[in-house]
Amino acid sequence: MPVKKPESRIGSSVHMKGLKVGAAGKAHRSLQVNLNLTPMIDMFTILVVFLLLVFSASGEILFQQKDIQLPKAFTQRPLERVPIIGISQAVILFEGNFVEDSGKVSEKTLPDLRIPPLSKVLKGAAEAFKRDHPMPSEKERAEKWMEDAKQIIIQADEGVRFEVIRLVMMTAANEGYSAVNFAVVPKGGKAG
Amino acid sequence: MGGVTEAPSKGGKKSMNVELNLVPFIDLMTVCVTFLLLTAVWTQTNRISIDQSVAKPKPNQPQQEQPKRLTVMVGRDGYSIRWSEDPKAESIPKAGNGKYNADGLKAKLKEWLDAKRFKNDQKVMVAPEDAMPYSEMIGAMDACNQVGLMNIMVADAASVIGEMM
Repeated sequence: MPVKKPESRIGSSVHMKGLKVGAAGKAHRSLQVNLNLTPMIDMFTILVVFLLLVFSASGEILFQQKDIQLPKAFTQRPLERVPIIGISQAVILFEGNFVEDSGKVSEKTLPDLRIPPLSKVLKGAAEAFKRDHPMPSEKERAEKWMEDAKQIIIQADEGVRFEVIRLVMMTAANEGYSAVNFAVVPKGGKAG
Repeated sequence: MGGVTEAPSKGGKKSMNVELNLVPFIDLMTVCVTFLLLTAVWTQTNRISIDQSVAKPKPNQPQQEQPKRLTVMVGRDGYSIRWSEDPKAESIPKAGNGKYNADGLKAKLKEWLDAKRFKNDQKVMVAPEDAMPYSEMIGAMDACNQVGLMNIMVADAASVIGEMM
């Protein structure tokens, strides 16, 4: 097979006259650059497959906080979007806003077994829920509404004393939040 | 970019190079990756649920007998479980490494379930001492859930002991 003299081979779909003109000055050197896109497409495909696998339609429900290390459990039931009480060793938060110092919460300091600032914000949240989502008139939907209205998530650090958890639960129950969901990390998963 | 070369045919003069235009494909991939990165959930969280609501008795309802109760106490020395029909409590001490023996608790609950002492819908009272860390309460509740006991309530150990007296 005869050896051919190299020449410009820019594809017809690429209108780069300037390159061809430039090449004319140095006739013996081809300016065509072939960008190998195969590794990039491979990488994109792997990324898309991985991200599709970790995709969750419900989105991120809990905002991870550095001072709250969730306990681990084997349970497989996913969380749903309801009001969140965060409890770290130092503070109690409601929807990310400071409510009370955890250190001040004990049965000795709160003989009526209620945390007044938490009680206040929970009452406000319950009223807002009732205002935004009026109770439906049909019996079945009303039952579902009542079930939803009493749900709350407790996102507590694994080292918090049970006494603090108990007083938070009692305060929540007093304001109508009697169905408590404890947030946990699946065993073998990443703690956060 | 994405060229495909065909074997030369007898016609001869027609170009055999077919170029696949990969630009729309790369655009689509880029949009997909960006969207999925923005909406990705990196930490998975699950829940252990309890319902603390107590059904109020109806005014005309006759006085019912005391419901049977399974109690799991979480103390400094380990777990202790008690079935209301049996006066003797069963204790499950901590393992040799100082950790709570959740496997032992699970095995004992399974044994009692298999012996038909109670059914899966039996209400379980998990009662940790006030000074216990929250993770030990979750450990006890998780052990109950794993053997199929999902109807859990939480109370403090002092009040549960007071009720038993």
